[in-house]
Amino acid sequence: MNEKYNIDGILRKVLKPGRYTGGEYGQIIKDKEKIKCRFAFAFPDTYEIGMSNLGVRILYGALNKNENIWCERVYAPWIDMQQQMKKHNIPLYAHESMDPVRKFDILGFTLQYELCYSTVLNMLELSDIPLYAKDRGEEYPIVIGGGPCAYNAEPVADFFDVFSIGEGEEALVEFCELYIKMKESGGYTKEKFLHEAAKIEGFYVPSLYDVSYNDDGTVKEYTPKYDDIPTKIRKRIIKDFDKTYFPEQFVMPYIETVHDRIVLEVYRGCPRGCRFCQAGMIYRPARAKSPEVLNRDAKTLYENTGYDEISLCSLSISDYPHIRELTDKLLEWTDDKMVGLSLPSMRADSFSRELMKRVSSVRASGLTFAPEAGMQRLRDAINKNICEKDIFEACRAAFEGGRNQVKLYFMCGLPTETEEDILGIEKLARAVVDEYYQTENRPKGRPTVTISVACFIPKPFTPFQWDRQSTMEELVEKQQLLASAITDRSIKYNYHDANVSRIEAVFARGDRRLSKALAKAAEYGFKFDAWDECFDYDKWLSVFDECGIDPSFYANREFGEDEVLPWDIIDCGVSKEFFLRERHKAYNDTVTENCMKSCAGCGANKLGGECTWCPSTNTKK
Amino acid sequence: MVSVNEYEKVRLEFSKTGRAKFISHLDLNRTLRTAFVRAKVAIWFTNGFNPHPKLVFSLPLSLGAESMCEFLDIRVLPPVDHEKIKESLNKNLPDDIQIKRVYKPKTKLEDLCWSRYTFKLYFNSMSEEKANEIKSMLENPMIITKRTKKTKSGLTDIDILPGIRSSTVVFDGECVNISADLESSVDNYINPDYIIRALDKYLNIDFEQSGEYYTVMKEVTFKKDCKTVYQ
Ligand code: SF4
Repeated sequence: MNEKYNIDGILRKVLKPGRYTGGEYGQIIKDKEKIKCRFAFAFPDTYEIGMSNLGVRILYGALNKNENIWCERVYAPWIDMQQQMKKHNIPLYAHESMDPVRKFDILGFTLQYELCYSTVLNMLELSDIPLYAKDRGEEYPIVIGGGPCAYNAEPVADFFDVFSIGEGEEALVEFCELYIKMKESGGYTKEKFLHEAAKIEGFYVPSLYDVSYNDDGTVKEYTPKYDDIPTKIRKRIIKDFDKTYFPEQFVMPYIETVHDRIVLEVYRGCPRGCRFCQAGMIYRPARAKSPEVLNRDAKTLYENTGYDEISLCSLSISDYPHIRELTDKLLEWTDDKMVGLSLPSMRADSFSRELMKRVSSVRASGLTFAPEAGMQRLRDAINKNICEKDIFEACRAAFEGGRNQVKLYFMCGLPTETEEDILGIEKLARAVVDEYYQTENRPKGRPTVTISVACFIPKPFTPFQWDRQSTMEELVEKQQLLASAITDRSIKYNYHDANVSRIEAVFARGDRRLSKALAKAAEYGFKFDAWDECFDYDKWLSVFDECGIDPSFYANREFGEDEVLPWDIIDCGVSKEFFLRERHKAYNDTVTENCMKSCAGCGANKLGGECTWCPSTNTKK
Repeated sequence: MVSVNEYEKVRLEFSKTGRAKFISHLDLNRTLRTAFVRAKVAIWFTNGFNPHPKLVFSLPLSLGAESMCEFLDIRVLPPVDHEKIKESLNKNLPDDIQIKRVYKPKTKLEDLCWSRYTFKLYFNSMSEEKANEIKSMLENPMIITKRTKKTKSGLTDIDILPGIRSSTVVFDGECVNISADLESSVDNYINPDYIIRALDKYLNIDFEQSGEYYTVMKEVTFKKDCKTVYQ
């Protein structure tokens, strides 16, 4: 492995060298000579996190299925490794071939959370690739972004050539095929290629759209530079989820990663419609896989990976209509082979005692519920349709099942929230403790009810996209109010750092002018902002200050309902009218039925496909 | 449940080279566990609350060293086809970890007492003369501080000279090659890293400069007499 760089020497000096070696079982090696498009798939965080991401696993497999494309993996080296790489002049390389990222045709970044932006720029720097797209000539790879943050990628728009909006497993292959076709036909220039790409559904080339601003700083309009590119970029979806590509093999990390197991995507999207939740909106319409397909995939993956754990993954697993059938099918063989099943996210209301019993028959997984708000009124306002009775019943079932630890997730700073709501969190937690002592066949000892409270962040493409985030002072005050209300020693209280949430909010609702701040941050060496040991709030504030940017304009300002939003250039399928309707209902504490009960007419059904709950487009409601 | 006695003891000799040299013992264990499942080799699981496949290794290789001769004992449900196990495992292992031989063990893992290592040293001031200095270093007492559970401080000083045999040092124009047999018994395990640390301590060879590095390869293992090849 040291034929290219002296990596051998530096790997002896870093923590966890297994992060950087590559060579894992299941990695895909191809003959470079026969490849027409080399794709470096970069995850802007550590190896352990990147390797656990199901989306990356899917896209890695989907791209490599094409014989003309070779997709390789790239992760952000940890700080110690970066120092060694700089010292020894080693550029960022891809794991499979160890070739420098700079030499690839296409460099893709998956943008999973806003706090990864500084790491994206950091990785470009490590690759010796100019940050700004306009400064990159033909000799550099095309830099493409995707993932949930691409829905409002304006803050990083100046650094990317193009974004893939929506689900990438089919779209990215098409994109590479266009690249190959144009290269082969001889007429390729980056400019021509990007213009062509902008015509494919789901591809947004930011440089082809001019943005103008009003005097008050809000966006005035987006103007396409050509007539033949769309004025709004519509996201791509997988139409038939049962038939879509799912990997039969995972790359098996040598070192332990965050989710080191088989992950089955039971369905994509969520039929619920919580008003703060971006994932629940951008992945609409919800599409489920059949239990047969899931069971088949699970078996294949078990045989090809040898993992002893299968995790059923989706936004709200117990809403899966065939959950019983699926677990039956899986348990038919998993018990025998000593393979454990785990269900990550459970909703209190549909949580059945039976389901839990069946799953814990192999291995117990942590029990978590997300009431999100302390009072029913606020739960109605955010459309989190669960009531206290559901929560108590679920907890009781858990206690009867022999557990004495429950974790409850909440948010603070939600629109319409009052002091009473905050105090309601403590009341609810205390009621769960009481429930424990009232459960007759509970386990021995004292229960632990952990309440974990995050700060609300208004996200694009949600009914709360216009709402402001509480100021730092308000958030801290609320956190302290709750802390002082907790006296029961069975209640453990965790809360998120409000500083981090504020920076996240700035970038979540940011526009293109934020690129200045990011470039400055890169200059100062910012990276790994999602890591406590790296994040520095005061430094961020001074960067904004230096660039003449007011973070409150993005985080703490209520956006006008008639304002052009920075992300209006993207069509996520769900209409702006729906979001507005939902917002107004929230302010009236009115709930909206979930998609399983009745269609709320969000508009996502126009995207077509085999949607699990949507009415077909012809039968308008 | 099939009783452990019905399983047949099988030894695997395997190599761990290239990129896999930076994989810790714990991670190697996990890698092999999943490989057995992929290869459909039915091995014995421990009983109890958390059943897991039982893998018994010879003393762990130090991180960063390559090896041509690592040993692992498992129990397999008969009928046992040694060749088939080897073949299917190799298909299901990373290229850098490969099974060399599968057989019925005739020795105990503890009988392994000596290992022959080759060190290749690339550093800026390499020369014939340096090689001679290294040679004489290896023939004199070398005091190394190592971790131990026996003392309060958790550290102890030992002389590694008695644990080194038949060392040769050659400068081939490109790098300095050391071949040395190091004791690797349970009681006295001489980690090849100690040699590297001695180079730093006694000759100031620290591999800190750009382009400086070293490789370590375990070539072969011996029984107590340091002559009979262990297998
Ligand atoms: S179209 Fe109706 S059923 Fe489909 S996602 Fe939207 S609200 Fe739900």
